[in-house]
Amino acid sequence: MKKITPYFLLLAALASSSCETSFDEPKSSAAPIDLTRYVALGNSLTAGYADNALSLEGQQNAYPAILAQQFKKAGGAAVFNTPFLTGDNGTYGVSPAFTLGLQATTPKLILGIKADCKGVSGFSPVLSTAPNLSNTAFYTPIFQAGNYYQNMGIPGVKSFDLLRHDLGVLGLTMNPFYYRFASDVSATGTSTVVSDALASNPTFFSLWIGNNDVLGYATSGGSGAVGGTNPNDITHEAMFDSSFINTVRALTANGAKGVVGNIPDVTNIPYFTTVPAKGLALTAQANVDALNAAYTVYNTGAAALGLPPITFALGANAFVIQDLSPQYAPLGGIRQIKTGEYITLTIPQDSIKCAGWGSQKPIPVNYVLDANEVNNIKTYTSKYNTFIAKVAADYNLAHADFNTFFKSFTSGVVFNGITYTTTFVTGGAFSLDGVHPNQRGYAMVANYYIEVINKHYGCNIQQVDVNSYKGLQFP
Amino acid sequence: MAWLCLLPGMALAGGFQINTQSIKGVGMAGAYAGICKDASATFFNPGAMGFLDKSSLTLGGSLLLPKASYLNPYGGNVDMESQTFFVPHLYGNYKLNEKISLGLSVNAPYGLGTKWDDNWTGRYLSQEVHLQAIYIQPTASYNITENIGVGAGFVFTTGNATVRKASQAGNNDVYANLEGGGIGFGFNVGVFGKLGDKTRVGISYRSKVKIDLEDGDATFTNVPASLLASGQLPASTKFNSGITLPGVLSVGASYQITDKWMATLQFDYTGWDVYDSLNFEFPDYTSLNSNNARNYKNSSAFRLGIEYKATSKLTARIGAGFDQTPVQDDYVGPDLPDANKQLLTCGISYMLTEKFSIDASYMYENLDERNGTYKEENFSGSYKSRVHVFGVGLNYAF
Repeated sequence: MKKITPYFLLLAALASSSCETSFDEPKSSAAPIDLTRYVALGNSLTAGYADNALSLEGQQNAYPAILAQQFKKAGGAAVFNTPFLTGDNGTYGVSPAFTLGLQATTPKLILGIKADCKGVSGFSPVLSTAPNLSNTAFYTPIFQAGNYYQNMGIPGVKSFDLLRHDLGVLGLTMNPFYYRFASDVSATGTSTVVSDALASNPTFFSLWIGNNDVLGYATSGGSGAVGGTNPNDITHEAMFDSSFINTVRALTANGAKGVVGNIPDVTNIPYFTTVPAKGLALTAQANVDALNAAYTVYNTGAAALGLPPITFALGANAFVIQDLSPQYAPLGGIRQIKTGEYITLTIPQDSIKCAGWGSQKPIPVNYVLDANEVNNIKTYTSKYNTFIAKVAADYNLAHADFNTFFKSFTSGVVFNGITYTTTFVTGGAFSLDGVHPNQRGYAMVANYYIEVINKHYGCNIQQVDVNSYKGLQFP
Repeated sequence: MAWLCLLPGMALAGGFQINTQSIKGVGMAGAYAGICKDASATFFNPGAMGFLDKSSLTLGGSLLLPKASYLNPYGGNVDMESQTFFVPHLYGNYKLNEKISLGLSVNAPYGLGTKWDDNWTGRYLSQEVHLQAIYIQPTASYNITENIGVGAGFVFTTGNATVRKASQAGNNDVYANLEGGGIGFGFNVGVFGKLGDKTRVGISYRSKVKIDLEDGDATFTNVPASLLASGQLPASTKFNSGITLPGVLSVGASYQITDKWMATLQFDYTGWDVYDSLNFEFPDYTSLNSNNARNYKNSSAFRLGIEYKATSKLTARIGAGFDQTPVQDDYVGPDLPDANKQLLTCGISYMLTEKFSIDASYMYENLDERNGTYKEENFSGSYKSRVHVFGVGLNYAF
């Protein structure tokens, strides 16, 4: 017995010393970079815009706010101020084409249940409250001397707006949200988004700009020009390049490190993928025959011009769309949509279901991205992205490839048991405007930023639990 | 049998095998196939039953105190909810004559109980899992010669399971509670032999048991009203599932070193590859069907035990073992965060009277810290687990 007594003692010692299984809290570390003062520059995505509005809750959960919170755990981002709204203020006219006197704010979208023209009820985005027709609070300046803001995300801005002096000056070319917190809103105002960002003397910055340089063109169905500066135009390549590099030069002048994001291909987002091009479902042969009969004359003309006919069959059919190109002018400017062309989310569904849009009548051009427009979007997105990658490499900045990141959602991204996709409403990552992520989507954006920053700089910043952020609220 | 309602606990051997089926056995790390000491032979090796001197009854139970923690890469430490499990067993052998013995074994060799906070980060994988399988095994043995015995038993298994997890309907966490039970059949065979005076050798094989779980009850709570109204999610429905409990091949030997000292060794090989996936089918809501890959691989265990007969009444035991996990790196999930295990055990027996004896045992089980991922659900993290097991048994020989 004596011989095995020590064994019993050993067991007892082991048992008592090993009662606890708990892990030590993981350590975050900014080293080798300095995250003490972080500023974020960008557009609506940086501001936390979602569900077609900017709200206090959206701002509080914007990706820069998440990054600042995680940087703080690593000893950084001691101060991170956001020009908070007072509630669900929503937005109106945040583009440079803001019209004075029309200070209506549109509240955010929520998911509701609505009956369509045929009396069938289904989920549909609806306004959370009535629009506020005179919301002056939204663009009342709040800047106080010395108190600069670190979330410089401004809905609607394009690459060149970040360096514009008149962006924060009361007038037709202002951005009302920037006007709220610009440091100098006098008629001779000298502040720019970049200068206000630099006033915080950042040691680290994030810059995600350029989305609106193609997005306005895309969401308006390609209604703008290629190479212009209006909201619906695609920005000229040289203008984008000079704006982008001047911004980066200014931000890195004092040695700050940073991360730059590129531009997702917008044709992957729910705004363009929800209504399929072949979305005209025909279930009755009588309807098919009637439609085919109605296009007999068209098809004779099309055959003479060597253009494709308009035909229908039982099942899924390509929508009939408006095409204002000279080629289709002799045919009344209509044709059937082709694969690789898109219908926007904003098309009135009732017009398709009950007013013959897409079948008896063409879908108007402002709801359609045709092949040529898609090509313009893809070409410019690719040009901007090539330049962003080059600047990131030249300035040794971390490069967040959001184009690839958002593309991955088309096949689904799984986080702790939940699969997030680009599917409208049920996909879980995008908000009800079909363009902007929801809070979980933004949390994944923040995690991707952190992944890229950790990888490029070799720091150890902790990511966040995406599923703990808010998703879509079902009624 | 009131103990049927008691839940077996978190895994104590590879996978969700529970290795506390004999209190004497636990004292020697579960090496018991090459030994013939009490009626638990009906379970460990039916071939050994005929070598028991007398008819006897053994009743015992183990108290399992598991503790486990998870390191969330997006947060911090999460402790598993603490639970205590009691796993009982009952064995009896009756010597019909010198050659033939009859026996009965009732125990719970498989079971699982893991529970996390309802709102924890892994809630979409698992909130709680309880699985218990009760094996009822009438057994007979035949001693072919003085030195060789064979035995076989028919295994009737009744199993039941509870699975709770969350799923997401936008902002709402919908809570699914699945409960069901089923039965299965199998067998247990063994050969036991004496090689000379001092050596005993045993080989036993317990077959796999397939349990079909039909018409289980699924209830869903916290479902958004609109999804209930549209029929996309039900408040309750029926589900089918099933599980195959693996077979085990055990090879053991013991050697009587001196009058007082005895050593035993055992090797177990468990056919875990039968557990390739856990599937749930909802006949009325096929959109809820889920197939969850497990892809367990067959695993080995090594056990070593030493027994010391201190006095004519008191016997002491110690043991050590290594149990290989059947769970592969890409399939480590929170419903069973398994890892390779080391066991250290001890135990004593005391003869109260000629007929009555009492056994006690203690086992300490350590699971390797494991950084694992459940790849299908992209759920990663590190796990640490320990289990303390206290057992008591009573024997009556007649």
